[in-house]
Amino acid sequence: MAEALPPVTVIIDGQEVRVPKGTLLIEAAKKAGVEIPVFCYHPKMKPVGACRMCLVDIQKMPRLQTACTTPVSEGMIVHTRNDRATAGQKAVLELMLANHPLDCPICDKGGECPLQDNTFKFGLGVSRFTEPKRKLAKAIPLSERIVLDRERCIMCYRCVRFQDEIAGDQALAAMDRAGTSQIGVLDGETFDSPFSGNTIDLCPVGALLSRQYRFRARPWDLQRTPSICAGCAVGCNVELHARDRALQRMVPRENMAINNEWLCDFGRFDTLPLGIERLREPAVDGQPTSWAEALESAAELLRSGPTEVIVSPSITNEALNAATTIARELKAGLGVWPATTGQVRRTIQDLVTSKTIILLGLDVWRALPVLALRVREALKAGGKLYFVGAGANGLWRDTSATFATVEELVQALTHDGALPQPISILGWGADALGDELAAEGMVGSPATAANGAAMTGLPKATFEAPVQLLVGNEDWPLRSSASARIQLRWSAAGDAADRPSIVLPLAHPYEQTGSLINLEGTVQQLHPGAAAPAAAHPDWLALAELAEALHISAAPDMETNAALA
Amino acid sequence: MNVQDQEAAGSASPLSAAVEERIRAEVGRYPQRRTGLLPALKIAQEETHFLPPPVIARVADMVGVSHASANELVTFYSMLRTKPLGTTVVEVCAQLPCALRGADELLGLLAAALEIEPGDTTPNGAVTLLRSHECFGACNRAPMCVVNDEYRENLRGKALEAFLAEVETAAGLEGQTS
Ligand code: SF4
Ligand code: SF4
Ligand code: FES
Ligand code: FES
Repeated sequence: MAEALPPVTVIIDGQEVRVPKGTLLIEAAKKAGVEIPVFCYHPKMKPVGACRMCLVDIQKMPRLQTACTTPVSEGMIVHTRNDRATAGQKAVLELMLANHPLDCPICDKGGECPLQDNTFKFGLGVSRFTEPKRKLAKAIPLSERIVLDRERCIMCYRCVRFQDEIAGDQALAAMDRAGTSQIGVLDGETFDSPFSGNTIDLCPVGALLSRQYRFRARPWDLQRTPSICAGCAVGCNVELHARDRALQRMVPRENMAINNEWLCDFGRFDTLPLGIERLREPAVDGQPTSWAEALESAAELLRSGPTEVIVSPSITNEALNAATTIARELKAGLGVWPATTGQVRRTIQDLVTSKTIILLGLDVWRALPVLALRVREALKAGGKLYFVGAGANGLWRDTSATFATVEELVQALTHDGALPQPISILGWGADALGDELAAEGMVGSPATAANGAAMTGLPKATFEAPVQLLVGNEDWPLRSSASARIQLRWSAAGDAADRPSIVLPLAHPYEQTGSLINLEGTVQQLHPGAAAPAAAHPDWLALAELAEALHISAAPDMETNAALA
Repeated sequence: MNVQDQEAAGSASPLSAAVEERIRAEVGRYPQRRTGLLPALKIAQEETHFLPPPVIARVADMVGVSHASANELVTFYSMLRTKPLGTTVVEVCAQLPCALRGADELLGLLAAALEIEPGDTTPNGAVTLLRSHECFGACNRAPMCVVNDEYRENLRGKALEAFLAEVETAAGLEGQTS
């Protein structure tokens, strides 16, 4: 580990800085407060020295060196802004732009593009090239989600390296070579990876772009709101980007304790309420009405009982509190559906530092995608992954061994001594095996729904009561003919056969405040990144209003809710 | 899905059982299966003569790498072919000495005579025209080209005319061009 090495002193642009021996010059410069321009270098991936943008002048070295691949040594004297260094940087940019289309006005990356920024800050300002530029294919759909512009690509390999080093599925590669090399997949196939969206963030030019977001906004027009992905129980930290209060895209925020700086495609693209028909007004028996009247009818129906209050495992804690109060006061049943709940002990950090990881039939890759990337971090640091079961395992490339049963695993792996700790075990039966192996890592059956960890104690809903209060945006099972339903949801109610008696429109999680508990038990706040439809209310507010219509005194938590509003 | 499962999943293989067996044996010789990708592709190409996407995909599955990675290798090495070759293969050297002596004009003349682009094969499958990525070591007789492993050198003036006629004959295009 770099920390263990003795520190060395280097002088960068006259600034003295002490860093562990072996630190990359680019990182030492950051510590000295010196900015060296980069394209291919990314602190989360191995340096490759592909783009040559980071050329610097190191005393006693005959030629300019790439700061991203050069480890520092004692007494190194580095100039990043002297004539030699700046001439090199200017030359690199000039060559890079020789064939770059410079179609910034129609490029989505414009305004947040490292190529633009570096050119302004470190470039020549004018081009001496008069030759015509190369013409290549533009806006090639690599997948449903991503388009590639070959003219803009600068072959920095960040995208290829992400899919190889971080995701591990090598879904992208560099085809052909030299002047004709290009990013791509096998002919006739598409760029299929549950993590492909991260390459859009990583691409330092407008070569890889989101089809969902393309041409919808300019970076300087965006309002940016920190929030939490509502896609699953990992609880990735995100930033919501809206234009004129309308949501346009979602990007990751770094949180080393949770999502590092990644998002899965499902979270990034599919949890946004875009292209989904919204429920816009309350309705009773299919007739649009006001909130007041809908609440009145709902209260009446609920009082006629017997009632079951059924919550989705993705509603906020505040809504869950209100739903619990309503159920208690109505003496109604309270259940959760679908039962994607669960609990683990210890944290994602403990998983990342584990030396042994055992998955008991849990396909983390699909169920909790970004957690799979965190598992891979543990494996890269020398951990080993074992899978028990016959089902799908998206991490098969990284799995050391697969066993049919827990007994087989124990027999095969523990016969010559204990497995290296910390041991993390995830999936059904994790607790028992955890005790047997005295596991010190993350152990348990994690929730998979966004707030599933908060609902672990709740029974599974029965859908048997004649009156059912359904809270949250789920594809609820079809109702039996006898029952009456009140639904609180944000998407237009689906099946006509299931038309609920009363519907109340909710705000989407990205349009409201509230808190969610992720799989390791961390409470995180949602913040509204966009405006909800006029008549839609946050889930907790809608339930508080319903409680009021039922003359149920607001629980103490509802004051907190009011403060959040 | 592990590598073996993936193999089982691809039921209709574009490769014969014998070739698959050879690939399996070859890949098994390396501590890292990935290392076996290049020899595996060469074995596949012996049977299929070129490597269309289904063959690349099958070999990738057998070795346990992504289809994109296998395609990366195939497109990198010019001796792994992604297109079928014609009966006669005309490979024009376009490296520096040949380039200085008019290799690009030669390539252009051939392309015009054959009515195809470099890299393509005449529709009747007779002639493939290629631009070489390597010097053939005959720079002193530039410009030159290689026809089915035989050298044709000093391709200017009379030699060039004769050569163009030869290629047109091979392509079955005799007399069509003036
Ligand atoms: S597509 Fe973008 S990230 Fe990938 S190599 Fe090209 S410039 Fe780099
Ligand atoms: S892993 Fe879960 S929380 Fe993270 S982006 Fe994907 S769906 Fe959202
Ligand atoms: S950033 Fe150093 S070579 Fe690309
Ligand atoms: S450059 Fe053509 S043979 Fe050497």
